[in-house]
Amino acid sequence: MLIVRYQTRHIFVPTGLLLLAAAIGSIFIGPLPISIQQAIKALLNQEVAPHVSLVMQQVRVPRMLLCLAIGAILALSGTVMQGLFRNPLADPGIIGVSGGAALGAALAIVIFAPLAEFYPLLLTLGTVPVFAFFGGSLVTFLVYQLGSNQHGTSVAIMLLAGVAISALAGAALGLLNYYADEQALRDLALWSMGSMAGATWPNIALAWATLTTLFVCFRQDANKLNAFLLGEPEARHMGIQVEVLKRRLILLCAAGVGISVSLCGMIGFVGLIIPHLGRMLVGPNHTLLLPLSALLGGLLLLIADTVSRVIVAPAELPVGIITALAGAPFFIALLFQQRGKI
Amino acid sequence: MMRAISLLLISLVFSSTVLANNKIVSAGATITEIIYALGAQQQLVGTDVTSSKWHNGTLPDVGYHRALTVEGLLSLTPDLLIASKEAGPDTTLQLLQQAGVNVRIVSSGNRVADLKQRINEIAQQTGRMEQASNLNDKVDALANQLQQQTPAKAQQQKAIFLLLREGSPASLAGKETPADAIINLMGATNPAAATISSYKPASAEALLAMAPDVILVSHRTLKALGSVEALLAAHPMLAATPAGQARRVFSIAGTSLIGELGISSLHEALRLNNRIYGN
Amino acid sequence: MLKLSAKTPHLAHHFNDIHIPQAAPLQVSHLTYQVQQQTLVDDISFALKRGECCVVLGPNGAGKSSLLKLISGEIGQAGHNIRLFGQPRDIWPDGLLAQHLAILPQHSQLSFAFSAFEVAQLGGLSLPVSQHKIRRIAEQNMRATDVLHLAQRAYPSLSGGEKQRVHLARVLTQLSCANNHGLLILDEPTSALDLAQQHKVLQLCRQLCQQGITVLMVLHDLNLAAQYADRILLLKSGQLLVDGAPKQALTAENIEHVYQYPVKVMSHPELEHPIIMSKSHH
Repeated sequence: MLIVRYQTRHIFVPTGLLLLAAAIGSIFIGPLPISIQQAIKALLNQEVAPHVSLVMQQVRVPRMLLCLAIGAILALSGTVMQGLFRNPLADPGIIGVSGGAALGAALAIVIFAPLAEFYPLLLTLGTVPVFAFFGGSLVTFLVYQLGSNQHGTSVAIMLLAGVAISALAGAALGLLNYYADEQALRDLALWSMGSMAGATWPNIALAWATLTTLFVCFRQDANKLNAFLLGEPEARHMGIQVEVLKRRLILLCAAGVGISVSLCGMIGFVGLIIPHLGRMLVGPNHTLLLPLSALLGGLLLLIADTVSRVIVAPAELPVGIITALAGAPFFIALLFQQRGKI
Repeated sequence: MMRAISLLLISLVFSSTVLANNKIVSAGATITEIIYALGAQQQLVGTDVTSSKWHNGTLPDVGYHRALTVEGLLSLTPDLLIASKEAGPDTTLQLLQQAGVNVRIVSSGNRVADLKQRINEIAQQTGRMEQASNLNDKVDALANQLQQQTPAKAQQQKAIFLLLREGSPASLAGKETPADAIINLMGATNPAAATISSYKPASAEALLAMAPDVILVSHRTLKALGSVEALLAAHPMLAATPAGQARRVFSIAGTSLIGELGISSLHEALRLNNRIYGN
Repeated sequence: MLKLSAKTPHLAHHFNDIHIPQAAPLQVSHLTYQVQQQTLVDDISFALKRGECCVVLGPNGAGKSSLLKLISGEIGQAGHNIRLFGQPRDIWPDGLLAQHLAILPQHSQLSFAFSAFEVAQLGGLSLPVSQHKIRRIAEQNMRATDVLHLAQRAYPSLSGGEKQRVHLARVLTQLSCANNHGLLILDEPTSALDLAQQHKVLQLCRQLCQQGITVLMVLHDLNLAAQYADRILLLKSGQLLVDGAPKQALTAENIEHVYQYPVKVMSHPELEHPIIMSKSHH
């Protein structure tokens, strides 16, 4: 007899403490040896060596904040996507958001890199993030249009359209790769593996504003998402305006993923494994799952980024490599465990 | 004019006394080469990933020069970062400057004059002006010798450089590459420079149409394939070119091809010049 | 009296005119539904009384599912041909409609490991009551459908009959604010169940009818229909051919006409409802 006995609310305390510990740990760990006293002094804006205060205030703390927000956004979007598609293998990549964003970024890198020599502001003003965001949104819109007819939106067709458009974006990306020069090629490769190095205060503000918006909106729809897991007709019969809900959630996910891709490049697996981990701990109920996913997503990305900063110091490994290295085996184990259930 | 000279003098004095003890991170293979050539390598505390062949991994590696990290660099406590103009990202360079690291971008270009300019700039930063003038003399001597051994325009051979990698198409070196500079310095013409810049994938037909007399590849490519015969067997379209038929396929040291024109590029150009024109 | 959301003042005006207890829970008049020149539902009219247990019967392709889907709003624009508690179906606000009309699907595709209790609580989504109250209501309904002991079990691990009864508790929770003026639609609720489970679910439906909830369901088993229905609707080719109490509706003549198959109809020795048997030899 299988009894569902999740840790429910009690899990939030240890997860929160763990996150706090990781956050504190991440700002005391780095390739530059900084003593705890010095670090605290730097945080309190007291007299320390200029490079110490710079590393604390402009590198470690901003990155910690950006990791928390981006990890949470990716995990929330993944959770909502899996709920919306009633498919535990769905992630934001599956409806083509990431592919579209990647294509946008590649276009920007390849097209604008030669121009950047003459107009250096072009790249620094963020053509890459802007193109990534619009690429992601455009693909989401396309996939949504393909999946919709007068009877509503077919999730199955959206998934297939997402796969097709992702393949198309992949081909276009390959084409760009083929014609890009060496420089752009390396830039593209680095970008596609993700990096938290873009942790500037405006970026952090954007990430946290996005996270807050997503969290508030998703929380309000948590119960509706639960009903959605029963099936679309059932949800409709329970008084949910299914089409409105779907459109809202898909657009929010696209915005969230598009923004995070544009700020940090492609970071895989967070949106895929965190919802699973969350469900193992608190079950599929979104009222609990969503906040837990946000915490776990932030935690995972924070740990991954700390590792990426330290492991090959003074160089840095792209954070996407770490999440994939940690995530893929976990996911394969999960598939083994759930064989026949999915 | 007087002011410029006096400033230069002051900086020379300043550099030779104080800057000689700078701790330097080099972000660019060409820059590292010059630092070694100037004998300033004791000042190096780290280099980018493309420079590792100069120190065989004995110095810390700060990664790809387009993805430098603030904290990683600062952990080496450098006084000076000498970087090529491609180095970045800009935010990292700005933050480094804020942290008190002197960030110097050396001038770029694949002409001999550009190389000499770079040597001077780096010598200034490392306080090695004396060694720089010796080095520049050597560069001049090499360049002169190359110029003397360059045949008249009509007798110049057509040479191309091909980047052959497993799984990706053959890339042809166009203008604005060290390979193109080497081809010109060695007294040949690069037919690809007319149409392309940087490295671009090349079709078999385009290669045949260029009818190169000489094909250049990197040491690594030739070593991986074993011999010129094996290379031509693996790339049949090359065998059909004049260079392939005459077995005029030569290899260049990879170090002379990375980044921009360097001192080893000149040496390679001279070596190839001797091979091709049989001096 | 109904509670209305502030967002729909024009509807509020309409709804104030009626007094729900007097209106028929379901009134279908001259309902026709066509897809690509094919008439799936052909001019069907009937009305259900409160507390009635009505079973729709007919061969495959007779239009049973289409009829149910039209009433539940999954397909078509019903216009004024379908009225629920006196009001045209299409003008009901979504949330309010859900409080009065619930649908129990044949089977649910839920594969996520909700507990049975959580599934039952999902019915409270559109109710204007607190989460705490919803938990209490769901608990009551699970007791009523005899699944309270399964409350903490993972839904996917339940048997077919247990799942159906959990869903029954869910739809009852959904109808719990309707003061026993609910309409419950069931689409072949017994198709995946064994004998005992089938009777258990249908007995529950009868109990609900006694409380005032109106039940409309599609069944395949003529004998189950004969045993539990107050009223039988016999459909063929989209048309309503027979409408009446089991004894009057389920005659050998009617059944042979509708199903094109020879049967013999007897009377149950104890319960007195008709029993239908095949007359054909194998």
